[in-house]
Amino acid sequence: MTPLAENLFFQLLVGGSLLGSLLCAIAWGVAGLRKRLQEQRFLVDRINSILPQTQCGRCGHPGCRPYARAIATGEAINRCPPGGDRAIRRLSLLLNEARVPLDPAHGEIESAKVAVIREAECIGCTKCIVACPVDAIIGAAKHMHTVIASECTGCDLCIEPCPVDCIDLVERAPAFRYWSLAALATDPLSGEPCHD
Amino acid sequence: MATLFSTIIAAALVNNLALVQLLGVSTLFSFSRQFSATVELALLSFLVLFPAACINLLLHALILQPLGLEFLQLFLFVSVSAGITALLGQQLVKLFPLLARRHIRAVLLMCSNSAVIGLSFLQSTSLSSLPIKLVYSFGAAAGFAISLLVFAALRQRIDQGSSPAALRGVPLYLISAGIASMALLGFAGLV
Repeated sequence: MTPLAENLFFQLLVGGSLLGSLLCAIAWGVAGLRKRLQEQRFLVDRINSILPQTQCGRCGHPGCRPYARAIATGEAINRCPPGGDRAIRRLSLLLNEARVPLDPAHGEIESAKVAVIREAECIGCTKCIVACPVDAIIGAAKHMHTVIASECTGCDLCIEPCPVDCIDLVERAPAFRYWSLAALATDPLSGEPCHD
Repeated sequence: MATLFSTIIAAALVNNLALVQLLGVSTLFSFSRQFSATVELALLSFLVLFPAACINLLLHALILQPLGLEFLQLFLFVSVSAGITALLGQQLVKLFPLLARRHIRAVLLMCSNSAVIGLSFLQSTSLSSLPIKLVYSFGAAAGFAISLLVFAALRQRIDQGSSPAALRGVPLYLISAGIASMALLGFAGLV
């Protein structure tokens, strides 16, 4: 009777299980490392996905993606009024920075807005169409324009170029997330009761 | 083998850089929004501490001591650790932009951190052999990283618990760092 430690099968079993667990640990580590590496790439995309995509330029950059690029290289995270406190919180978690209040130099937190053209007064000059950063205004020269409410980000860039001042920013009704009889009875865009 | 093990234990726990020798304490209090950020910072601090201490050690033993230029050691230690941090920072920005955005300031501050310089000085005055010194600096760097993690977890617990308003925040961090340091004194005589 040989001792257990000198038994060939026992040695193979122990060695095999040790080797197997080592290989498993290495594979696990490599998989985790690959996941982390993939997370590391596209930092600008991840920051950009947190920003609200209003393209309003209030941060001092021409749009959300340029601001995301600036944040990735070290700019302050509290310059986006449309994103508000929520965007600052998510950016501070992503970038390991202190959660700071919004920089008042770049505007104040407002509720979501949507632009509405008073269509009877529109002269069809197309200036607002040129100004709109998200192409949410449709219409042609000398024809009445209108805003696609679901595309409008409420950035107010179309207000200033309008020569007859026929564009208003109105409060956007909160989008309903759950079906309810009250929600069915109201128009989701204007928030007013549907009559027909 | 037993010597190596006991050296690592001695460096990591008994003579822990941050909590017992009180070197590089500032890194303990570095801001982190989440615990996972501290894990990354601990890894990065290991990546600065261990190579810098090793290179300082080798340069001191192989160049300064034979030539009798030991008065230059502070200059050498600072420039080597600054070079290593700068290199690490460059590679971080190139390869891991998210890590760089999170920790580049802490990493750059580490270049003249008293933990790096202090570890090199401790090594240069100790009388043990070169391999033992290398193992010691590995243990010290690992112990520093572990103390960062432990202290970050401690801070998280402190922030979540209810504490007197007058002590909330930094005062409680300082008190708990003192208590943690006293607790580590219990390891004295272990090795």
